[in-house]
Amino acid sequence: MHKNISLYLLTLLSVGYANQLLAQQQTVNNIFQWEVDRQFGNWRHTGNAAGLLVDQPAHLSALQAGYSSEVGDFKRPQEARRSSQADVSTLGNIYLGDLYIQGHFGYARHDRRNAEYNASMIDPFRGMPYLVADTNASNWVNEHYRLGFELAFPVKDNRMQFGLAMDYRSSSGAKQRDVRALNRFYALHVSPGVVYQIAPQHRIGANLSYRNHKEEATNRSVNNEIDQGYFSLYGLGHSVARLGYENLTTSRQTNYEADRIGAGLQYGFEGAWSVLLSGNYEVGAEDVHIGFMDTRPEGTLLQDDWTLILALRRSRKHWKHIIDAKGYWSNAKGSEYINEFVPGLDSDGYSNRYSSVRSTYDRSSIGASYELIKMDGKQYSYRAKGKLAYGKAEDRYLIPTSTFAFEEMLYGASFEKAFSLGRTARSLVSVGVSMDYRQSLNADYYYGGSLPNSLPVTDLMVRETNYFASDFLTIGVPIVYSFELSSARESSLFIKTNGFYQRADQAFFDRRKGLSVSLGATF
Amino acid sequence: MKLEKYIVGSLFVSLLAFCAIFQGCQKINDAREIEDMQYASLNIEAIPVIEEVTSTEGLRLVLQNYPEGIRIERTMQAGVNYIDNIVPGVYSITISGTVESEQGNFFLNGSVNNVMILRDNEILQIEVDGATVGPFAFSEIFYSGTDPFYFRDQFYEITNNSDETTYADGLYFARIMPIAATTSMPIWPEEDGNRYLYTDRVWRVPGNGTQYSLQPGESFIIAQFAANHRLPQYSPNSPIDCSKCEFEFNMNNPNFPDQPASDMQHIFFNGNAAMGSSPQYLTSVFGSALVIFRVPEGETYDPVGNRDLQTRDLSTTSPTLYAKIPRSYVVDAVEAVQNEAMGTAKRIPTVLDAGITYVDATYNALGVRRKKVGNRNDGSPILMDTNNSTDDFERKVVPQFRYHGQGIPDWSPAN
Repeated sequence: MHKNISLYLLTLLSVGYANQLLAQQQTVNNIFQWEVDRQFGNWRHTGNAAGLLVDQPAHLSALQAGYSSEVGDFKRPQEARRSSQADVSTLGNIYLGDLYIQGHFGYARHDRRNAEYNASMIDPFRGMPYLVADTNASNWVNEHYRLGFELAFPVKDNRMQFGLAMDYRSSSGAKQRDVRALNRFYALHVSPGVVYQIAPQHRIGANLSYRNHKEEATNRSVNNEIDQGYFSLYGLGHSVARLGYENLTTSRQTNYEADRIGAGLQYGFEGAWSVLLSGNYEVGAEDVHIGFMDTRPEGTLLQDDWTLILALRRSRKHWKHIIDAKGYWSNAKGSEYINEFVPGLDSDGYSNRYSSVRSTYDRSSIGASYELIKMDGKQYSYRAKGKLAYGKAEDRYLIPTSTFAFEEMLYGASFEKAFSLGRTARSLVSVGVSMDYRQSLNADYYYGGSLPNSLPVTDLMVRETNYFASDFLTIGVPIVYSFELSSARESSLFIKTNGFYQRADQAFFDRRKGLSVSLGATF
Repeated sequence: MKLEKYIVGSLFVSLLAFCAIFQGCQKINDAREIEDMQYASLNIEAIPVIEEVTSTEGLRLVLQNYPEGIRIERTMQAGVNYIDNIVPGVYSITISGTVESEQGNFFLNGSVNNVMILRDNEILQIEVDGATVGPFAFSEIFYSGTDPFYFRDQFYEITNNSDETTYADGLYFARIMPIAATTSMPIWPEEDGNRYLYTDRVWRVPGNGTQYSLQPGESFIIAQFAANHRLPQYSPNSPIDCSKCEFEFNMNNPNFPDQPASDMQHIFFNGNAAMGSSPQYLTSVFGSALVIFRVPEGETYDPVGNRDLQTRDLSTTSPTLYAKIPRSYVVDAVEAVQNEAMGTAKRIPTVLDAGITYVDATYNALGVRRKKVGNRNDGSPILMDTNNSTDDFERKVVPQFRYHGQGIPDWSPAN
């Protein structure tokens, strides 16, 4: 049996093929059904795989390949001015007897052009303040792999169900201009969970999670005759300017290693309305070290995250209602180290003499959305959505005191209408429009350090602040076309495009626009 | 039965996960134990070495945290001085200035480097002694080279900053190890104490003792390669023509042959008087720690013949031999590093040079130049020499010989 599971799982993950062994559940026929179906699972968004079967997931296999591109001056400094991505992904699910499995695999190649102030991280926006930054606008070529699965085990005693979710991500990145960077990243996530039915309509669930990730960044210069200056960033513009690499070697390694653990609790009610209340707590620490030999501790980021979600769903033959509310609070502390190098053959190299929390990063957001879906058979006829969110950030460098803070409101509305291109509904097209407006309530940066004329202060942080001080409007136009290949095999092709145009109400920036196209199949 | 199998498998995976979680918890706990940064404070006292000086009141106290650009300046009171609100970090501390006593005025100088001031009420005592100044001083140094990748236009200008006629004959020149500033410092023999500096190569100005005289305010230049570097075959972008320099470090490289300038005498390399196979004498384009020194009358200095003046770097297994330079011989020292952040990697003792200088890049055709503080009656310049390169030198200047109007010695080919 284990062999069979492995075999089916591998098959599922590699080509997204799910066979027809058992079809006791509904089947997704096309992307329009898929988009409704994936919105309607409450438990699938909790991270507790044990609750997947409560959602009664429809049978689905999907394979898609896409290309997206965006360009514009309205961006954060570390964001690429122009970027493009080619990707392929697949997902599917299957019932093997009483065992339910769903899996996914994805690959993406991401080309980023003219990104600044980052020479050590594939994703400079993942909240890590300790990084290497140069001032040369550079191209990055990144590749990302992702695969994972979620298992829901058979119900025990008609009440209890166990589940397991695993996710693995691997990325590589290369910065194309001195100071060069060659990065390797992996992340592993494991989350076992349990759901217990306390009454016919009431369930409670709990899950644990463990995440581990590591990123290695190696900096070197192709032109080793001219040494490019660069900065070690420590948050809020505090930096140390550097020239040449560590200890006169020809390269510099920055190693990021993180562990995160967490737990979630859920309560679900299934009635006229499907209700799910979910709370998650996660804490993690990420250490940053310089070098493989004579390793020098650079910093540690300790981060606590709380998430609270309320999801309400009501499903009728012609109408569906979706209400989501979410609150998120995060508190991170950045610790820095003062080290002493102890030379000698018997020495361990750097010895930590002092460590202290030197910066803090607080984030919070709260938001809600409502979506109304008019159904036409198994797919939507039209759907309309409105959303509202408030976000806040307060960052502080303790000594010397520097602060960065912003508050924002996000407003959004979207509408999509599906049309049948023929009497048999074999061809469907959906055209929509979305409008999102970000209103900056406040954005302020104060630097109290001793290097007010350094570029991380006068350029990086000033532009970052300008970005968050900008109100901007994003208009999107999603278009989806689906063509049924075989009604017997319940398979169809789809083409999905989405264009957006972003305009900022500030003199600092111009605009940003982008287009994505993907071709895929559901079967 | 199936369910049990699944659960056993799941538990196995979970067990592995929890082993990793345990490890992860340790990392999280370690991070949780770190406390918020608090300001540090320092109780510092200057201890005069000269018997005639009884009070250090009025001396200037400077604390510098180079990487973070922090500089704290105070005028010292008598006895212990308390300084609070110090950002914890690694500091270079200098005490200098003139004190009056019944025996006259004394210019005192004392400093320590890489002092960790981390907590409340740290205690530090610094000895202050009569500062050794001159007569010679590095007045301009060009070490960074010229784009693209041209480093043969390095030069070192040395000025007679005293009020007396002085002879360059027998003046030694060396760069202090490591060649470029790094926090991975060598280990030298413990029994040497603080008596020596260490170099890989020693040079000496030739002459019979009275051959190369310099009047007050006159200077001479030692070039790495005393050619006109602006010629097409060298580096037209070079800021300097070294063809009229007084001396050069000739390494007998046929591709860069001996020039009309007088050759510096090679004294020591790896335990021998022979030069070895290096094609040039290149001081780091990042910036080297340079000294000029003179052997006091009645003493001899023979690092080749006297094995006591040789040592290995004990932090490695390398057999390379380095020459010891007694600190008391040093006439002038300048610490050039990559940039301000490398102030924590000083090689020269702070009593000789309490500061650093830098040009922030390599091959940028910029150098460092000692500041002028005044002129003698004859108009010759008097240069600043407080044994602190941070204060004494202008940084990132376009190289130019005798910028402050230094005189040209009558024996110079520049006449």
